[in-house]
Amino acid sequence: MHDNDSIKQVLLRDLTRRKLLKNAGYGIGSLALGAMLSESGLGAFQGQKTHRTDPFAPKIPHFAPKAKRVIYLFMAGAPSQIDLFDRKPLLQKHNGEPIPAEFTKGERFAFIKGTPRLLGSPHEFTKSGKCGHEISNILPGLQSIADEVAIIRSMHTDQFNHAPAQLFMNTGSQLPGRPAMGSWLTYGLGSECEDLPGFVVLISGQNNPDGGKSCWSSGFLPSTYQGVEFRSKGDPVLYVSDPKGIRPATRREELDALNDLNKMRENEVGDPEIETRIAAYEMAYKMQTSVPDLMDISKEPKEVHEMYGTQPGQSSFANNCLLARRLVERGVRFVQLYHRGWDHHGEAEFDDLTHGLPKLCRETDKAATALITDLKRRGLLDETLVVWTGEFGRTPMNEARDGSKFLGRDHHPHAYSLWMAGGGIKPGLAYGTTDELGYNVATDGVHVHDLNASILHLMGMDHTRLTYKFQGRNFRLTDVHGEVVHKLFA
Amino acid sequence: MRMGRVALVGAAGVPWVLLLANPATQSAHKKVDYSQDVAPIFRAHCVQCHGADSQMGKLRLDTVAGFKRGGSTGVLVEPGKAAKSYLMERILGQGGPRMPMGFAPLTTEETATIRQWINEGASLAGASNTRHWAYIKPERPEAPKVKNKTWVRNPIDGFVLAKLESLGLKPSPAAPKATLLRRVYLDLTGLPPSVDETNRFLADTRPDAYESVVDSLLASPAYGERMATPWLDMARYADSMGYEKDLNRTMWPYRDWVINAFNRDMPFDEFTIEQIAGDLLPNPTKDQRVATGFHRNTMTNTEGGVDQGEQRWLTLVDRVGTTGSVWLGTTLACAQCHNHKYDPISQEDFYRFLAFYDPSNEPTLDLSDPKLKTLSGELSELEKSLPKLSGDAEALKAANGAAQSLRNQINEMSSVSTLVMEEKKDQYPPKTPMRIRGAYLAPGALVQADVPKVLPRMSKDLPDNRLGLAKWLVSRENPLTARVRINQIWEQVFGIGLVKTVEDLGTQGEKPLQKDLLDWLACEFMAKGWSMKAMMKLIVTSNTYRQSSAESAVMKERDPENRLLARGPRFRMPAEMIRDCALKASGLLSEKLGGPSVYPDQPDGIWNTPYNDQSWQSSKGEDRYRRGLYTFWKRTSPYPSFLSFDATSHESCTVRRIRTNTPLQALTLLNDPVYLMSAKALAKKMISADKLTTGDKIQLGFESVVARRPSPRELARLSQLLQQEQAHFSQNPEDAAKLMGTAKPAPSTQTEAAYTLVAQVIFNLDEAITKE
Repeated sequence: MHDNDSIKQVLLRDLTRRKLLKNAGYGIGSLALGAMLSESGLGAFQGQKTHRTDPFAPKIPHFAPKAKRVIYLFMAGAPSQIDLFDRKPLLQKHNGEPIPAEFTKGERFAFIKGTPRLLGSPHEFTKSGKCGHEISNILPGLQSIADEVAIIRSMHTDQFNHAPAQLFMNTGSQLPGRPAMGSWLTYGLGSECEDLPGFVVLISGQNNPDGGKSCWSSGFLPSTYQGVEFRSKGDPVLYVSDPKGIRPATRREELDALNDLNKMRENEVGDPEIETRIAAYEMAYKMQTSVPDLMDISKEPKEVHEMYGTQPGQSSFANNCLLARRLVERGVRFVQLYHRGWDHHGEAEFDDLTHGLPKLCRETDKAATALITDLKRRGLLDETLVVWTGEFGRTPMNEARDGSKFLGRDHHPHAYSLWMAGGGIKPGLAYGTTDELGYNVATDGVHVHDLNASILHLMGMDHTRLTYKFQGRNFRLTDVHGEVVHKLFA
Repeated sequence: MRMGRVALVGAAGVPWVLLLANPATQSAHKKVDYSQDVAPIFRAHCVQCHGADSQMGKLRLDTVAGFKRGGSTGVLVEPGKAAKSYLMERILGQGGPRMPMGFAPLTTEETATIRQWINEGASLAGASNTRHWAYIKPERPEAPKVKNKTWVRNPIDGFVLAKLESLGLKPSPAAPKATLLRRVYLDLTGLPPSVDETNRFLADTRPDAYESVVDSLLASPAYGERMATPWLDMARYADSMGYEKDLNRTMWPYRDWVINAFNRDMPFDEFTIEQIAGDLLPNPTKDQRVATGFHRNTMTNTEGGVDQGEQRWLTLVDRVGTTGSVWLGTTLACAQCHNHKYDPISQEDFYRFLAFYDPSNEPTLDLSDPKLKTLSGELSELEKSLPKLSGDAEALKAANGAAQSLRNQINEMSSVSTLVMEEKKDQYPPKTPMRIRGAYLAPGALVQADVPKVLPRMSKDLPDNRLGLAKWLVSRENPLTARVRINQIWEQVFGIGLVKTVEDLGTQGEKPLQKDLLDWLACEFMAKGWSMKAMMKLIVTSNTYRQSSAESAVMKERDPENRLLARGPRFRMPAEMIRDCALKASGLLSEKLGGPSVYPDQPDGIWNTPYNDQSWQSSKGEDRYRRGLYTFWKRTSPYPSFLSFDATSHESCTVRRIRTNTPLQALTLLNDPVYLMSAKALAKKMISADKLTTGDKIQLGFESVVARRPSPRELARLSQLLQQEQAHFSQNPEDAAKLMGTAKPAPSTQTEAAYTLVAQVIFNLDEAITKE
């Protein structure tokens, strides 16, 4: 099946810029394009600014969006929903008892062997906000903004190992090679920022996510749409800094010569690609200023630093939350933060539920809370969708690997929780439930594909129409699945 | 952010719209043909609901009989009267929901095609042969008649010229000699010619000067490195396992096998058989077993909790998909969950194909020098004897000395082992369970290994195993393999395949604009005994290839992607080539062939993989400046400058890289230390050259990179920059010292710094990273 929209985009993106509008006014090519555009109703660009013709030029969504930008807080390692969001008194009651066999018959576990025992959460919960979200006491910040967020307790996925599950969340496939959501969205919508990439990735925590750079790969989409890592150490963007001894003015002189020489060549060989390259060098030059400007949080007021818990020059989730706000302020379409370390199996103190998990909460809760509060007071929350999620859930049973005395939970694909805020999400909403043990979804299940379809929907994109033809087939983020969960929306 | 345009897009057909919209092209107006034009539209849009699996409204459009019979509302067309035909009504959404219901409508072109076909009488002539062009064995076409016979240097030119003449177009003049030389150096070796080589060629007036250069390039070891690079994309070659821990693995012996095979001009049929099934050949050599590393390049997830059976199954799925893309230009992977929606590949076909790969063990092959074992044995004997000698100081000293010498020898002989395939002999003929809806956890009926039904059967004398599959792939009866491989090579040289969708020659792929040329090349390839060097030579010695790549205003408008080949190729080089060329031009490149992968400098903190303490330890000495294909390929974290220039992670098979043009590429060329090092080295070369004038020095730098003399204007502009920067650095000597990384700047440091900036500008020229 063809998708007219993807074809329109392809036409607009490539033909428009490269060969036709340049020569607009004569020639059959521009006539053909004109005909195609008017047929598709895009001839007038519907009031969009038309001065940008690059691949990131803002494009018309399929329908009116609720959100214009996404900040995606990826809690890599899979936070324990049972200890954070999905309170299960029955687990506490039957703590230490073997789980009934009907739950685990035929199940595949990552590490659990034999018959595992139920594990009640060692943490207390409090009904928070007017909406009464039950949230663990190790997330005091989130409790304080409970009325801003929607909690989904009925997430489920197909994958129960980190790398495939993270890829699945991001790309809709457990195998590497498909485009990430941020790539799809910048491909489909462009970005409102002219001097920064449209899809930015910020990493904190133990190390890179398990899925590696494929989590923000553009897959088979042009690499223009891949996520660009902004690093907290060394060059914030690789190679953005001039070599020692080259001042900006010197660099300018080099680029002036380069542009002149490239123009001479263009006159000689007539390849319009050269013009694009000249523009790319100019943008690179701008980025050499805009990126360090963006990354320099030292000029933020003290009050902001206190709110986020940021320290200039540090590598932390807090710093990245503040950077995320600065990025969306500048119009960047998709900002994704990774914080790895939530893999609380309970093998030792560092990865157990009573020490390790609260530590991760301390690393993230305050800053995530500040991010929501800050976006709201700046009037950005309405149009910025914030998503906080891991890649799967954790078992209601104690893993007790090799008889470990520390409390921990194994990987669990059948049920987990996440929260979202802003960007068209119904604040204070509690959506979906799990059974009394928290093992399976009981009502209103939301599959990963449903979540992704819903996020695209909030951004004004129909997940069945945002497609790209590759290897003879129209691919999409949600494969052939996904139902938009309209009940999540305000 | 304002980023550059994308050079290639996945969707087929876009330039066709333009070519066909052109009055000149329309003069070659052709009747719409059912099998060529209409049936593919039915397959693409209709057969999912009106086909073999489901006949909604009692209609099926996948057979001619089904079309003739029509559906529950009767026949579909009134020949000659599109406006009165039910088929048209439903496509337009009149008299019932628009078809295809619930899916995107047919495109304007498709609708127009069907309308025209009905109006022309809805002929089903020749429709019994409804097979897609690519499934019909290529027949060697007659050389077409052309007017300008003198332009035809070899048959390629005949086909190209005939097309151009039919459209009233002319080929471009020949490229300047220097441009052609650099072009052919890049295509055959991936490296630019040296200034001396260029001068020698310019001075060589023999009629076969060019041919002799071509021969010497084909014979140079760099040829194998050049040809291996795109092959390794397809082979998803990497030095790490992929997924979470992404641990290192030793696969470079396979990479070296590929380079060596190209250099020996191993015929493509052997090249195929050894990679798919080298282990099943009679008395396989070590090399033949190493070749099977092709399919051991699949990823391995070593996360603690994985289901090993499922992981293994995923590698089998990958092997099927990769084989389909690389040899058959067919998206077999689309049939994993259900029958292929567009191409005649059933889900059963997919699992029968997968069965070929099921009975495989995945062993490690020890490649250590056999002497290693002997020496180790001697050492341990000697060590055992040492205590007995404790009384004899003289003998003990001698024995210790001998032991140490053995240890040194052993240390120098590294033990190497690599991953290969091996057949489980007890599973013959191979079988595998189907998987319902493609889900590993839902096994279905067992099926036996076989090739897809739409393609010719395996010959009876072939074994029903991987070896049989490999031989079938390269059998003369196979309609796809030769075309697919030639199309890949064509893309490598011209930047775009004769079928643009190199990975897909199926019904969703592009229909070749020059099918006769493709078929001729495929037949010639087989006739030449599958010699890739012979085909490369044929291509690069054609007049088509030797044209100037300058675009005329008319052709820029008319044929922006150069599909008609009215000019030579001009496109940005692949990632590895960009780096290789800079190193070569600056004199830094190490031309050491093969061996373990290397770690050129990259910024700290790129590798930070969970549960993996392996770190990037920058190589020392010449290994910092090896060719790009030797750079350690870590799947979750590839060498960053290659990623910027559209290299892929090698996590899965890449048949076609998409070229982009972005600011991150500009930053890489401007600031990645390897390019700064190259600029410094080139600056030294310019300064130290025994030449008189500044202009000569600049010219030397320029020629080293782009292999032509600068025009007076170009030279003047670079001279101006040099003066500007010399002035700058003489006023700011500390900048010069910093740039050149010296604590004790000499007066010459300022000159070196200024030349370094000039060299940097030269390396950043569009032309420097473009094959013209």
